[in-house]
Formats: sequence, C-alpha cells, structure tokens
Amino acid sequence: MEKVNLKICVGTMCYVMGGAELRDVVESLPQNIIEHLNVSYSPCLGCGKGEETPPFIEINGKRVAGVSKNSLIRIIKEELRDVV
Amino acid sequence: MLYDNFAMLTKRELLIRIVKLLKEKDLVNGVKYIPVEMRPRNKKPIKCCVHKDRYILKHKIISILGFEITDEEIDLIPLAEFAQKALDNKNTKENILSVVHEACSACMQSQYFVTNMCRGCEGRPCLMNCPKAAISFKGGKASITQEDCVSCGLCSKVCPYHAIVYTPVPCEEVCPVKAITKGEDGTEHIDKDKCIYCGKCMQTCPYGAIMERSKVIDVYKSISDPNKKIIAIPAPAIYGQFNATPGQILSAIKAIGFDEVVEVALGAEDTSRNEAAEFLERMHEGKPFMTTSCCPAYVGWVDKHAPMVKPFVSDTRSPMVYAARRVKEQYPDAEVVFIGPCLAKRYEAEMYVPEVDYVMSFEELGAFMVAYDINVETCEEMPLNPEVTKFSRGYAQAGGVRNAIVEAVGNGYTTLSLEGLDKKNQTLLKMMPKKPEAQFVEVMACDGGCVNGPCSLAPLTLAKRQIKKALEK
Ligand code: SF4
Ligand code: SF4
Ligand code: FES
Repeated sequence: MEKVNLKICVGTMCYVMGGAELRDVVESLPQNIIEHLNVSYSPCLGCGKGEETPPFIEINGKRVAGVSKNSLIRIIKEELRDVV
Repeated sequence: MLYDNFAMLTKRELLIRIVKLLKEKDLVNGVKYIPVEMRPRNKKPIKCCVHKDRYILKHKIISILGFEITDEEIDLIPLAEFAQKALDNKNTKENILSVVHEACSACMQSQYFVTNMCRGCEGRPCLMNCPKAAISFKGGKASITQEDCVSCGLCSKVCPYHAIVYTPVPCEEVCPVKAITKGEDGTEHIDKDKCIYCGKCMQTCPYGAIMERSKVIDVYKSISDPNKKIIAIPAPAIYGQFNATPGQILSAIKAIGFDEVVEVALGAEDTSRNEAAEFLERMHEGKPFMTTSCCPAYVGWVDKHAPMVKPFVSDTRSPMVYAARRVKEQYPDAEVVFIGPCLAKRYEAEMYVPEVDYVMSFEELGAFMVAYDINVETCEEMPLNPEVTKFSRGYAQAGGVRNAIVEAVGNGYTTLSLEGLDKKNQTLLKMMPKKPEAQFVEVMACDGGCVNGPCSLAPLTLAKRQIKKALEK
C-alpha cells in the first residue's frame, strides 16, 4: 500500500506564526495512522514567497498554508481517505 | 488564555516584518508597504474594508515603533517619518501599555442580553426571579431594562432555553484590578494608577487592540553597532519556548548578535540565597509570614491595591536585578537586555532597575530569530554555567521559588504557592496580615507562573513539557 508523504515545517517562521505544536500533533498520532505516513521534517518549506501565511506543511507534494494543529489532523485524514 | 488567535499572529507578523526591514536597513522605505502586503485587496477584510484594516495596522506599527497613538495628528504623518524618528531615537512613547483606539472595537458595555431564542414562555422564570424587576415583556418576548439590571445573572441561569446571554467586554473581564474601563468614546482606557501590568488585557483582547511598548528598534541598533557590547539575560521561562535544549536556546540567542548570554537563573541563585536569609531573619523576629517579591505584577498589586500586605513582602531583589548587576560588574559599559515572557518586567526595569537597559519579550525574540534566520533546533549546545542549579531554572514555573527556599531553609516551615491574582487569591492575601495561611508565601501573578507569562511564544502545553525536560537534567 502506498504511503502518504507528509513534510512538516519546523522552521522558525512557522514556529513563531502558530506552528509550534505541529510536530507534537504528528508525534502523537495513533499507530494506525502513523503507519500510513512517511513523515519528514523540514527547516523551511519556502515561506516568504507569495501571499500565503505560515505555518506550512507539504502533503503528497501539495503545499498547504495556514495550518493549525486542528486542521493538520483533518488534512491528514482527508489525504488518507484516498489511500486506505 | 486564547491560543490559535489571529490577532496575536498579526502582532507577531508585524514584529517579524519590522525586524526584517531593520536588518535589511530598509525600514524607512519599506514600512509603508506592510499594511498593503498584509491586507491585500484580494483578501477578505476583517473589519468593514481593507482600508480600515490597513489603517489599524498602521496604528499598530506606529505603536511598535514607539509612538503614542492617541494623537490625531498621526493621520497626517507618513509611516516613513515615524520610522526615521524611531531610528533617530526620537520615539516619544511613555506608556508601557496603550490601547490602539482605532483597533478597539468599542465592545458593547458588558451586560445580560435577551437573544431571539426567547420563546416568551408561560413560566417566565426570568421575570419571576429577577430581584430588581428589570425584566419586562414586549411583543411576547423578554427584555431587560439595562438601567435597572445589576448583572446578578439569575435570569440567564433560570431560562430553560438558554436565551439570555452575558456579553462581556473581554479586557475588562480579565483585568484583576479594574484598571481598564470604557471612556466616553466607547473605547477602552487604562488607568495608570491602577494598572499592575499583568498583561491579561493585552492577551485577551480579540482585536489585539492593546499593545505594549516595544524596544526592538533600540535592541536592533545596539546589536548592529560593532562599538557596543550588548548582553542578553533571558528569564528562566526561556527553556520552555522552543523545541530545543537549554544550551541550544542560549546559543540561538547569541547568534542574533549578542556578545554574551547570561542566564537570569544565575541571578536567581542570589535571590534564593538572600530571600532565604531574609526569611529566616523575619521568622526569628517573630513576623507571621513573608511573601516573595520577584513577580513585579504582584508587587505592583501590593503597592497599588493592598498596602496592608506591603510590610510582609520580601526586600530581596528579583533574579533579573542580580543577573544584570553581575553583568554590569563584569562589563560596566555593556548594555543589558532582559528577555522574558513578562509585561510587568518592563515596568520593574524602568522604575527600579537602572542596570537593565532594555526589556524584550519572547515574542520579540521570536521575531529576531525569524529575521536573522536562526533555527534553534539546529544550533550548537552552549555550555551551561555550572553555578546555576535546577532550583534557579525552576523559577520558570509556579512553586519554583518556594522549592528553592525550602531547599535552603529546610522543611520546618509552612509554605504556600499562589498562582494568579484572581479574586480569591486577592482576598486571601489581603486577609493574611490577620490570618496568615503559611509562613512563606510565593505569589505569581500568572496562573502557572512565568511559563504562562503574557508575552510567551510557545503554547503552554509545549512550554511546560520543555521546562520539565530542562529541569530533569
Ligand atoms: S495590564 Fe493587567 S492590570 Fe493593567 S489594565 Fe491590563 S489587565 Fe488590568
Ligand atoms: S508570574 Fe512571571 S511573567 Fe507573570 S507577571 Fe509575574 S514575573 Fe511576570
Ligand atoms: S519556516 Fe516554515 S516554510 Fe519557512
């Protein structure tokens, strides 16, 4: 089964602008979700370009802006629906 | 406390943009673009239109640059001029905290209010239970005569449809000393004689209308001046602010351009020692109790609202003071920047601590880290000063000072740690001269202690965990 590629920005901009807990959210996901994910952390996903607001993540190559700890779970679940 | 709050992020974004422009030496030219870039035409406005949004941002920027925002003249002056004046050290702002009146939405006077969920039922318990006959029925619906209402809340409690709501004024609601009230224009005003700079209003206002005076410009100027020695003294709560070790955090601060970083926890060693000695002396003299004095919001509260407690507050100085003194003894020409989660420290430093040149918040520190491209998690470990014990770093959270004192004087005394200056704790403290609850009383104005300070960067859960980790070492 294909895994979902999830890249979380742990850069300072995203951290300061409300993304401080994104790493925690991912690390506390239950095993049955984690096993479908390829998680990596990035020091910057290229903020500062365009008008979108941090924090950023990338899921299966798509960049998502303005992620909160609540929306992150939703985004992951949605993406998983296509895979599982 | 509000997390995930966009008004807070707006303030952070403004700080980041301003520090970035400073670093690029482009503040005067670039500052005028900030409101337009942050509120572009194609985005949905928050208030009535993008122009109002931008106008509010302009006022917030002026506040960050260090100018009073009450003057109507400021409408005539372009942002560039303010920026230039700020860089020339001509910023005039005196107040540590001020209300951006353009942003204050002049919330409705707090009141009980009948919503249209009212069914006008036969029972009408609101009518029957109101002790002031403030409820009447018009067109089959309840309505409250505000002049008669005493805000007891009974009607709201008894309505079976939850049709009666309380609409608070958020800042007034959280102020522990009623220092912030509506002026004739409907917007909020802060009474300097009452305010203890706890920062609750600033944290709570959902419009981000209450702004602290920022020192980012001055700090930037000193950092970028090769002829100046500038030393950062971060408060113990710093260890909770990033996903990194204490050593990494300290070296990240240094990487901004400070010549040296000295933990305020080093000063806490002196505070603990002196406070313990003072406590023993007072007990020896037969005094009933002593409270701590390291939280300036608490000390401000005693000074302005509870003079009867004053004789029982310790005379020992705060860790910030001792840390700054140690630095100035070693480097008399250096400038000292206290970095903390605390608004009241700005007041303490200004009023009583000439050794501290500037006070910067964790939020402002975060803005510097972004602007200077510093990634804390990848910073090298800076060796920690072995003189600093975990008891001193423990000042970061409520109970920390008490632990340090118990460590020094032993278990033979009763102790208490009070978190937050809510009504209950205020009453308790005011009663203490007559009815002491314990011999040693630690008081922190913030619930949880400084880890929950009003100018924090990291969310509380993360901060607590990181501090726990730091103290385990
Ligand atoms: S800082 Fe604290 S004391 Fe001062 S007005 Fe705000 S809430 Fe009240
Ligand atoms: S508890 Fe700490 S952060 Fe809060 S007001 Fe007191 S000293 Fe400042
Ligand atoms: S720091 Fe997150 S995208 Fe740059």
